[in-house]
Amino acid sequence: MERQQPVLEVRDLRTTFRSQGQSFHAIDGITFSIRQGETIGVVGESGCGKSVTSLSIMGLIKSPGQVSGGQILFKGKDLISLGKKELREIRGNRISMIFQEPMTSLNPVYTVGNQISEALKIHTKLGRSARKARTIELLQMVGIPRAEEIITDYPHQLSGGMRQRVMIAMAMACDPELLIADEPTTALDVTIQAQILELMKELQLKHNMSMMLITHDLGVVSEVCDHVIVMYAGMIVEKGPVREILDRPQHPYTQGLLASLPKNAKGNHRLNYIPGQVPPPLQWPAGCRFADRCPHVMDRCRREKPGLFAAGPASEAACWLVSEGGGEQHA
Amino acid sequence: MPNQSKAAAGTETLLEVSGLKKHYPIKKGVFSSTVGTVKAVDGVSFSIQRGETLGIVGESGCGKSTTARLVIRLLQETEGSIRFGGKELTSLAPSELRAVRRDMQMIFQDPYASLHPRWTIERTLIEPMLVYGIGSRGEQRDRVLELLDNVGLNRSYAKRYPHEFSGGQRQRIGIARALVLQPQLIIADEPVSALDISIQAQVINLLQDLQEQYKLTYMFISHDLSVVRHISDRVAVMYLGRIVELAEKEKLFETPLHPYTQALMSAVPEVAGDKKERIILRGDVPSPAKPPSGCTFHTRCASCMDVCKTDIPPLKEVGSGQLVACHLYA
Ligand SMILES: Nc1ncnc2c1ncn2[C@@H]1O[C@H](COP(=O)(O)OP(=O)(O)OP(=O)(O)O)[C@@H](O)[C@H]1O
Ligand SMILES: Nc1ncnc2c1ncn2[C@@H]1O[C@H](COP(=O)(O)OP(=O)(O)OP(=O)(O)O)[C@@H](O)[C@H]1O
Ligand code: SF4
Ligand SMILES: [Mg+2]
Ligand SMILES: [Mg+2]
Repeated sequence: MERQQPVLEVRDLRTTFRSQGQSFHAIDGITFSIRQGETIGVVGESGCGKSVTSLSIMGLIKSPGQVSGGQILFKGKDLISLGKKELREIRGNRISMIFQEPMTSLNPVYTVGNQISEALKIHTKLGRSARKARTIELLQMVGIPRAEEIITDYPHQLSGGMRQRVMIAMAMACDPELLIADEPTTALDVTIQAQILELMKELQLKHNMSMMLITHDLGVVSEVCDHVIVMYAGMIVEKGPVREILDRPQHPYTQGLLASLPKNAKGNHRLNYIPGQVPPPLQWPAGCRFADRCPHVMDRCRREKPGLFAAGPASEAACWLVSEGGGEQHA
Repeated sequence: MPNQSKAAAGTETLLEVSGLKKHYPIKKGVFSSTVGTVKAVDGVSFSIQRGETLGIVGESGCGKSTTARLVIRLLQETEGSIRFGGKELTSLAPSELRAVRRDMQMIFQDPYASLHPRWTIERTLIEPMLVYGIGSRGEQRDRVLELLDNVGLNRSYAKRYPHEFSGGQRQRIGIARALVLQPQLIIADEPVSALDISIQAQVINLLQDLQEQYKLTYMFISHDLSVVRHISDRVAVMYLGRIVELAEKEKLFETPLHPYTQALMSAVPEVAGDKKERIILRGDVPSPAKPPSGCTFHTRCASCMDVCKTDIPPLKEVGSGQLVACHLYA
């Protein structure tokens, strides 16, 4: 593939929060990039930092939390050092986000039509009636029946999946160059999910849009992503082309994740899962953060933190087992 | 209702819903005149045996959450009956309802909106025990820690507030809250949709363990068919406010009869690289305000016949014990 400048480049990002008088890194040094027209999937255990990563990119971390280190380059410009006004032009206009919980980002006191129309007002030059027509069109695109009636409804009058689709319609309102979608289809049944994913792919082709797709659904990852990032406890533990990661996962955490799929259990037998819990940020061990749950843990894992090593033809994994297999450390 | 084989044999019906309807008036204009009705739930009947899990699946907006909210009495029905443990809930006095509510808990689809933003997790979990006067202060605290362990949340999180959690962590708080009072029936609305698969597996194992231990009964709403297949005894498929198929899990997944169920089954994304044949549903999702005549699925059905456009197919048993509402099996 021809090497072009990535649309988004995240370098050694760190995001810090304070809770009960202590501060901690929720994101602890992650590096990745997304090229034009590419879709990157982000997977990882609940609480590992996927949403915080996307909120950091969007500049939406609320005080007392903050991005405390690293760079976020959008087409070469560092978003962290950008002024409020410049940032506003990029965020929501050239980068759009679909949030994980629709109710946290839809305003309960405005109608659905108002909210989409407002987004169009900020980001396009459309007049009033053109905005209304476009709003209805967007809602129809995401498969909402009776769109003309829904625009006068308030968010609480919609079903969970309808709210999620309103969010998607809003994010697409301004033809973004980069779309960050945080679990965009979790509340959707499979037929509508298929339809939405199809729509995203279409838009991607049409506008050469790049996408960062956070999801725990590995089936979705398999169908729409080019590359995958696997996160664990605030770090990237494995990344690479989608088929390499899903077919031959090298990190024990990724392997455990794939083994937990319900279809890998038969009938009413118990499901496989990775025993133990992700340690909370303040209890991260000095060595590999997966060590306490890893079936292959060695002495070295508890002492030293593994960097990313070449694991497959184009993939990398942060695991000492992989390093012993002859890989060389990248980071 | 026609007999429901295995699950029904020798057990007791815990929940029986019949002819349940919820219609919302559509109000428009300055005078808020009613210009139509949204038939969110339009004549739903099913029953759940004690200790059984009934899965409910169906297209977004088909009325799953509304059905759940009606059963748990967060919504007033337009019509129909809901019997829980032999009591008719639709005519119960508020004081009697309070006692029943303790035995019925719901895990909400949107965890953020259902948690009190200014309460710590500990407070949220202790509240139901306070309301019903259960346990000493110390016992209540111990119970909170036990619940956090159960749902795989670190004990140190007890003193944190909802906004300090990730989406999946909040969902688990919602599950813990439903378990506090050890209810008889849990209505779970997309309880694991925000969880990664490993934690999803832990939570599902937990729900199954609790079911075995306490003979818990679940009404389990989810669009994740592999999860539904794993956890349910029987599954109901809804479309536009009605049940179109209801059958034992294995039968439903191996030989789905209703054309909508068939399309649903074929749309599941696969982790393996090879793509499979998909039945793509053509046509727009119809509006519950103007449901199509006859079989409401006829506008999108590949097997649509003339009779489908005029006559509503009743939900009835076909040879294999499956209940299906489709003229193909008449
Ligand atoms: N505002 C906040 N204050 C304190 N801690 C926070 C805050 N927001 C997130 N965290 C913590 O940061 C960590 C990462 O959270 P994040 O929301 O990124 O997880 P996630 O990977 O998106 O998980 P999920 O799959 O459950 O949505 C979690 O441990 C969470 O508790
Ligand atoms: N308060 C309300 N006023 C008007 N219509 C409503 C109201 N609440 C729900 N509806 C409508 O009822 C229908 C069913 O909604 P419900 O929330 O039960 O769907 P659902 O099956 O749970 O969908 P999802 O899978 O998306 O969560 C939807 O068309 C919705 O717009
Ligand atoms: S580094 Fe060690 S502990 Fe960590 S995943 Fe690899 S083998 Fe397991
Ligand atoms: Mg998240
Ligand atoms: Mg719902």
